[in-house]
Amino acid sequence: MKINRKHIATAVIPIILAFIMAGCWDMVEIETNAFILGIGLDLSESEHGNDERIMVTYQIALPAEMMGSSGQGEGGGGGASTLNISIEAKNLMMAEQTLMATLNQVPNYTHLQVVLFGKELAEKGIANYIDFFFRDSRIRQRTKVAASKGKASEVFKVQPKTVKSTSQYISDLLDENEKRSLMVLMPMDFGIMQRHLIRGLDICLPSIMVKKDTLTVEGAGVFSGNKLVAWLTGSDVMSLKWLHGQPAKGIVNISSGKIKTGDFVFKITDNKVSVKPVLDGNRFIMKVKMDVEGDIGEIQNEKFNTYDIALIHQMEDLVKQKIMQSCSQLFNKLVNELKTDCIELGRRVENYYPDFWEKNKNRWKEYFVNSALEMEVEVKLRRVGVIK
Amino acid sequence: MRERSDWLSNIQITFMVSSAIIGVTVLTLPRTAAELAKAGGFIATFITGVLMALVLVIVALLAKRFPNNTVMEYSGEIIGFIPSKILGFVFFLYFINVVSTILRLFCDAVKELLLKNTPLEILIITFLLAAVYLCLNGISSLAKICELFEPLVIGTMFLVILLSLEDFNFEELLPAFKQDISQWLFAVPHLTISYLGFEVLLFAAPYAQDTSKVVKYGLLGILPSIFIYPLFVGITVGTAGVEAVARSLYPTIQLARYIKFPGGFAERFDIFFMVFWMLGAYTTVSTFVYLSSVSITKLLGLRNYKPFILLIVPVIYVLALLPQNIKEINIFSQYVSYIGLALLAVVIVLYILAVIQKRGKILENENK
Repeated sequence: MKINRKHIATAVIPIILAFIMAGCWDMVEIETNAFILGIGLDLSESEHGNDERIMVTYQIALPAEMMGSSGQGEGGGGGASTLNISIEAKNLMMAEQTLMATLNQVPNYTHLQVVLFGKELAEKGIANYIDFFFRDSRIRQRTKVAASKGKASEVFKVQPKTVKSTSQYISDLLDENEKRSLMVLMPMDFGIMQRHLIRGLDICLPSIMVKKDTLTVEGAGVFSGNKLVAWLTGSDVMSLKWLHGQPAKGIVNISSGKIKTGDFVFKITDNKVSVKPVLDGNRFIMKVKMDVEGDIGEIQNEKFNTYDIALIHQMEDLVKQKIMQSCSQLFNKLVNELKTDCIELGRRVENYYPDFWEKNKNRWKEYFVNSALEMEVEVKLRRVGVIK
Repeated sequence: MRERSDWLSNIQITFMVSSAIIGVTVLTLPRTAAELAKAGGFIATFITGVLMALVLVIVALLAKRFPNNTVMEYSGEIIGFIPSKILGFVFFLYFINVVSTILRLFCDAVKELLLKNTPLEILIITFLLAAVYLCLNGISSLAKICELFEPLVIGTMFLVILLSLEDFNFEELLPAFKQDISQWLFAVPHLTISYLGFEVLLFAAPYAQDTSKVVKYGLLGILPSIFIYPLFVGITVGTAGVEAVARSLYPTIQLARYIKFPGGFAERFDIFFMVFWMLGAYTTVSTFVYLSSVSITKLLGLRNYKPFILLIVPVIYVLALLPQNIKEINIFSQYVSYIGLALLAVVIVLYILAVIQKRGKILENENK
């Protein structure tokens, strides 16, 4: 028979296919994937000469356990649904190699939710350990970062009852409740970290505390360069968010003897913040303009008629004073005491005064400690709840 | 010539131009723009786009003047036989180098981002063979694939831009407005590589059904990129900051990965983006493979370009493997873009000469 094109094609195609299918180099069966949900970094306890070593804790998902009772992740499944492995190594890539020697699965970073820095490591300096998260192509820049007030590995040991893994718990909390509470700092991720660290600015990370099996994500850890210098409490975080230019909702607690209702709680329902740096002579003034709208949340009084315009104005005034006072308090603390610019003032100066930044970016700290704060706050109390 | 069965419709011309332009460089463009023009990168990109659009108009006018031949054939009329052969050879070298550079850029990015363990040669061969298979079927198949894929590519890019607006901070772009115009113009030559590709008009015009509209539809082809590229640069800088973009090798991918789908519905949006970016790269590589084989065919005075497609595969393969590391790929692509610019300059000269010498079909009036 004549060899026509069809025959040649039939002969060539299988050869080509054979080449293509000869080895699927990157294929990993789904069951052999170790989905790393969270990574914790701690200072290693053992001494290895002069080498600084870190303890990397990997929280790995156990999908079989997670599927457990109900399919939705409601309620606690039986037993632990995650596996925590702590590995001591010099850097993160070495830790990954050792992980591969410890576990029968291939590490997979695609579902990494959160990375935690332990207190001791943060105080010593995280500079040597963050490049991995920026350089590796498998890590998403959206992964949240937080600092723990104790050891990061302790945090991962907490088994939350509402979700299957600690990492998911922290990530959900930061995503959802950050919008509703003034004690929770907005989530920091690697993208934001990279942006600040390249510019020589400082960062503040949400802080996590473990107390007897409960996790609290409250407050913030303030870094100067790559070292942790201070912890801020939940009430400071409110001003920290505002100075950052981040609108924040939550409650403002007013204790004052000046008002007839006694103490009351103002619930913020709407918030607009804008921050602008203004160059004044040789120093910068941070002009913050805020619009706050809210309701009365709770009054510490059994029966009081709040349906009164004069009273409403008085309440608005008190809230305004409290806001301005706490913001300037925090600003002074950052500028005078801690000397860290974790409120992105440097970034705003770079955007509004690029020439100045070009010349002075290496000496930004000197200018930062001379800056002043000017606030313009407007508070409006719109509603009082459902009773008078 | 209009009776041939593989004529190209106007829309196909538009998408052929558009698909040859929007290719691999969308991945690295924000980095180049941010390195050179800092916050003003998006303005520099836009200026480059407008300039290239003007060049495209001239190229299209030249193609319109000689509606039945490719540039290889009519350049002889304008500048003489030997210069035209030299020009043809330069075109061939340029197209071959574009294919290998783009192929290498693409496969390197895929290897880094998706398939770390797969040998680079395998990635190059499979992609090249897929492009070759398309070209073997003729220009009308190529045009139909471009017409099919390109809207998807453009649509996905706009989707990425829209979804990234949530994290976009306009303040990061403010320094752009205080910059010197010289800083933008200085960046233009390096950014032109992203817009190269519309030389395809010179070779596709003979197959167009309605050559009188080539200018209009060619211009429509470059229009999406003039919007998408500056938007990408602007949004990447606005989301990540100038220094971070200048440091990131694949800023567009980082942008796609940063997208937070509301409700946590689709966590890995970047995979969706990569799929369509691959289609964009595929159309670009196929177009340039076609152009390389057609140019060498016409150079040798032959008619059937299909054997040449297979003959140049090993050449492209070897060239693609030539750069040793990622920095060398960068250098290669810069040289290729300079050759591309030089060729465009020559084409402009060709057009001027054609007008002066009154060659080609002079359409007195277009009654439309």
